[in-house]
Amino acid sequence: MKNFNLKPLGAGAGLRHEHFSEVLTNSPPFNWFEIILENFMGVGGYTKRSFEAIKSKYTIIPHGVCLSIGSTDPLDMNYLKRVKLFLDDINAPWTSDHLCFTMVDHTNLNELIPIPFTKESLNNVIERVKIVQDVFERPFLLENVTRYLTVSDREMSEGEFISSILEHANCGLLLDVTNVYLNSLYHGYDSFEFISSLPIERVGQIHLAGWEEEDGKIIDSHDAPVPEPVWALFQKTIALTGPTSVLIEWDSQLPSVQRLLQETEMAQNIIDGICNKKQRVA
Amino acid sequence: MALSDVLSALRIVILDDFGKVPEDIHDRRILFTQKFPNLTKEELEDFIAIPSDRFGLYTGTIFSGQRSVLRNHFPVTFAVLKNAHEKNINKKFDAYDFVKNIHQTYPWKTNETSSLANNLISYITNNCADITSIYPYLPEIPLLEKLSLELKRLNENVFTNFESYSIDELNNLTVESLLEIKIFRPETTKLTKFEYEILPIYHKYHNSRELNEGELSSIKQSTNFAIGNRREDLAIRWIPINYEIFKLLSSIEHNESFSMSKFAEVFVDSSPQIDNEEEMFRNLFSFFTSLHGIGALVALRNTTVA
Repeated sequence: MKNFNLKPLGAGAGLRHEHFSEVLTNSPPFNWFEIILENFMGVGGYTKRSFEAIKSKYTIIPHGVCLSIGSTDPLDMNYLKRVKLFLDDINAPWTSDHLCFTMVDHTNLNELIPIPFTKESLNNVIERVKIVQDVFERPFLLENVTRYLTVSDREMSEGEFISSILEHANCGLLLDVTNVYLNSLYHGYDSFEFISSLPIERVGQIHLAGWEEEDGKIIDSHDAPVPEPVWALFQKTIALTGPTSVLIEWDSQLPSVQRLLQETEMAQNIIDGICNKKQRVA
Repeated sequence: MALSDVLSALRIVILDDFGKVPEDIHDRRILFTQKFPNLTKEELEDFIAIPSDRFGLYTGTIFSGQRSVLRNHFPVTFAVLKNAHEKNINKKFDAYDFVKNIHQTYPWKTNETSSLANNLISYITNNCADITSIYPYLPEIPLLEKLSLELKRLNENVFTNFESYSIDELNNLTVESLLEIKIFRPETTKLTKFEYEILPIYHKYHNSRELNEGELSSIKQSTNFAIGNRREDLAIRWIPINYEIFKLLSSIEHNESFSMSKFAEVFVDSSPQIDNEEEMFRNLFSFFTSLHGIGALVALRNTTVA
C-alpha cells in the first residue's frame, strides 16, 4: 500500500470565501482545494452557487473540525449523517478530521485539545473511528494535532498511539508536518525520527502551515507562510511517502490568491524534485 | 480510571479556570488533588507534570478565537464598548478580558456563532450597567448586528425565480401603470424595531470605521423601525421605515405579492400632509426606489413569484 491507496493530487490550498471571486474569474492553476466541510454543509445562495461553480472546475477534498473523535461524549450521529450526505453530494474521494477532542461534558471548547496516549483512549478512538468509517463509506484520515501539552505518555508514546490507531481502525493518516515540527520543539524530540516511526504507507495527505510567535511561544496559527524548517522537514518526508496530496493551510491573515498559489507551487516543486530524482535513481 | 474524568479535568482547567495553574509543582499537586478526586494517582501525576503555562496556551487560542468571531460580526458593538471605556470609564478596553467575562457568566457550550452572539447580548444587557448607564442604547446594537449576521447566513436555496423591473424601467412608467404593478418582500429581508435611533451610528461605522463621543452621546430614545436585506453578493443594507410601512410589510408573508397602490396608500396616509400631488408622488417613488435599491422590495414584471 502507498499513499493509503489514494490518488495523489499534488499540492493544493485551503479554499476560503474571500477567494471565491478571484478563483471563479481567473481560474488560477491550483491542483485542488481543501474545504472545511462544516462551513459548506447546508449552505445556500451565493456561497452554494460559488462552491458549485468552483467544484465543477477543481477537485475538492473536505476536512472536518467537529468530529471530536477522542471525546467520551457520544458521537453525534446526526452530525455524522449530515456529513455523509454532504460527502456523497460532492463525491468526495476521502475525508479527514483531527485526532483530538473538541467537546466534552456537552461543552464545545472550539479548539483541538490533545488526548492521553493510554490504552483506554486508544480503544475509545479505534471504536469511534470504525463507527465513523461505517457511516462515511469512504477512506478516512486522522490528522495529528499540535500538542502544547502531553496529557499522558505513560503507557505509550504519541507515535505508538497513532500507529496503533491507524492499524487497528484501518484508517489513514493526514500527516501535518508543521504540527510534528512544533511538537518536536515543545516536547524535545527529533521530528524526522518521529515521522519515520509512523506507518508511512498510510499517509494519504500532508498539511503544511505557518505559525506565529508570541511571548517566546510558537502558536499553530495558520496565518503565515510555511517556515523554512518545515519546508526542510517536508522535503525529507516526501522522500519517504512519495507523491501525495499536500495542502497549504493558510486560514487567517489571508494572502492574495497569487501568493497562495506561489506557496503551493513551492510545495509542488519539492514533490516533483524529490520524486523525479527517486525515479531517475531507480 | 476514567478517560472522561481526564478530559473533563482538561476542560475545567482550560476553559473554566482560564488555564490558571500554580507554577509550583507542590501547589499544583494540592490543587489538582482537591479539584479532581476522580482521577487516579497516575492520572493526577500526569496532570501535575504538565508545565503550568501550557494550559493557558489553549485558553489563549480559545478566547482569542471567540474575540475574533465577536469582533468580526459585532464591530459596531465593540467600537462603542471601546469608546465607552476610554472616554467615560477612563480605562483601556480589553476585548480579550471582556470575552472571558462573558464566558464566566454565560459560558459558550456549542460551536454556533448564534449562541455566542446571544451570550454577548445577554451579558451587555444584564451585566454592563457601568456602560449602559452612559449609553442606554448599547444592548440594541448587538441585536441589530445579530440580525445582520442572520441575514448573511440565510440558508435560502435559490433566489426566488422572478423577473423584476429595473429602476429605469419604473421611472418610465406612468403613474397609473406604476400603481398597478405587484411588489413583494423577498426572504432575504428582516424587519425590526428599535427603541433608540441607532441606525445612523451603525451606518457611520460601516462607512468610516470611526465613531466619536459626540455622536455616541447624542443618540435619541425614540421608537423607530427598519428593514434590512441581504443581496446576492452578501452585502447587508438597512433602511429606516415608519410604523405604518413596518405594519404593512409585517402583515404580508415573504414572497407574497401585493399591489403598489396598497403600498402607496399606506405611504401617503403615514406621511406629513402635502398638498402637491406631484411632490407626494416623487416622495413615494424615491422611498420605494430606496427599498428597491437594497433589494428589500421587488417590483415584479410577471405577476407570480415562483
